[in-house]
Amino acid sequence: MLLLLSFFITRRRIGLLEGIVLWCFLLGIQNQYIWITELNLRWVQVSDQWMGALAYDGIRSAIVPFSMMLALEWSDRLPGRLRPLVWVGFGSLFAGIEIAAESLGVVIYGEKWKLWWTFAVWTAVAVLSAAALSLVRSLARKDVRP
Amino acid sequence: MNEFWPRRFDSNEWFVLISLIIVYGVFLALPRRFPRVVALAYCSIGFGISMYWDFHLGIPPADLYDINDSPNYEITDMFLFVLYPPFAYFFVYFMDLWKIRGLGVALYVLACSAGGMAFEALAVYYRVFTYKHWTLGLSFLFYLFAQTVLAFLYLLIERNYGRKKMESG
Repeated sequence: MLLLLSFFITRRRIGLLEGIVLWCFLLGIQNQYIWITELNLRWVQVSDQWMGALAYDGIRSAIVPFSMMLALEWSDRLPGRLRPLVWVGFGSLFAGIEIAAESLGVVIYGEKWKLWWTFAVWTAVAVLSAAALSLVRSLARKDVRP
Repeated sequence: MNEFWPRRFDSNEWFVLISLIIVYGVFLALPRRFPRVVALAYCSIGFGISMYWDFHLGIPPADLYDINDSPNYEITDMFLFVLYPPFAYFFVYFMDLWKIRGLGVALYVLACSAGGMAFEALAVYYRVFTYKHWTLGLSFLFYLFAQTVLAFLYLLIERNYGRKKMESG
C-alpha cells in the first residue's frame, strides 16, 4: 500500500508508454529467468502451493515493476555517475526480499544456487530496466525529430 | 541445460517458424501508422500479456497445458513468444485504420477473438500446445479479455497522445 501511494504521489517522470513498455519488459525478463532456472536448471523453485505462488506473483507483477519505476525516477534526478548506486540499492533491496521469501518457503533455492547470485540477478534486472528506459526514450526522441 | 533444444524438429517447430516468417513479413510490409514508441508499447503489451498468462497457466500449480515438446522451457517456446507482439500490433493497426469506435469495438473484439481461437486450434493441431485441463473455449474467453484490455489501452494511448499533440501544437 505504501509503495502504491508513494508511486501515485510522486511527480511522474515516466510516461504512460514508458510505463507500459517497462512493465512488460520486466514481466518478460522475469518469466524467462524463472522458466530457465526453475524448469530447466532446477536452481530455483517457486512454491507449488497456491498461496506461495500468488505471493510470489504479487511481488513479481506489482511490487517489482512499481519499485523499479520509482527507482528509475529517482535515478533520473541524480547525476549520471551516481545512478549505479540506485541500481545497487535496488539489487540489495530485492535480494533481501527474495531471501526473506526463501525463508518463508515462497521461493526455494536448489543446492547449486549461490546466495550472491540473487543479488547479481536483481542488480542486473535494474541495469537492464534502465537500458530499456533509455531505449524507449531514444525512440520517442527520434519520433519528434523533424 | 535440460531439454532447452527440441527433442525432434517436427510439426510444432515448423508451425512456429513458418508462422514467424509470415507474421513478421506482414508486420514489416504494412505501412507505418504509429510513432515507433507507440508501436513498441503495443508490441510490448502483446508480449507481456501472453507471457504473463502462459507463466501462470502453463506451469505448476495450475499446469493446464504444455507448450511444444516438453513441460520444460525450450528455445521454440521463446520463438513462440516472439510471435505474439505482431498480433497485438495488427489488432490496434486495423482498429485505427478502420476507425472502429462504439459498438464496433465489441464486434471487432469478438471477431478477433474468434480469429485468435482459430489460430490456436491450428497450433493445437500441430502440437504447439498440448492441453491437459484447458479447452479452446477457455482460450476464447482469454482472447476476449486480452483484446478488451488492448482496445482499452489503445483508446487511452490515443487520447493521451492526442492531448499531448494539442498541447505542443
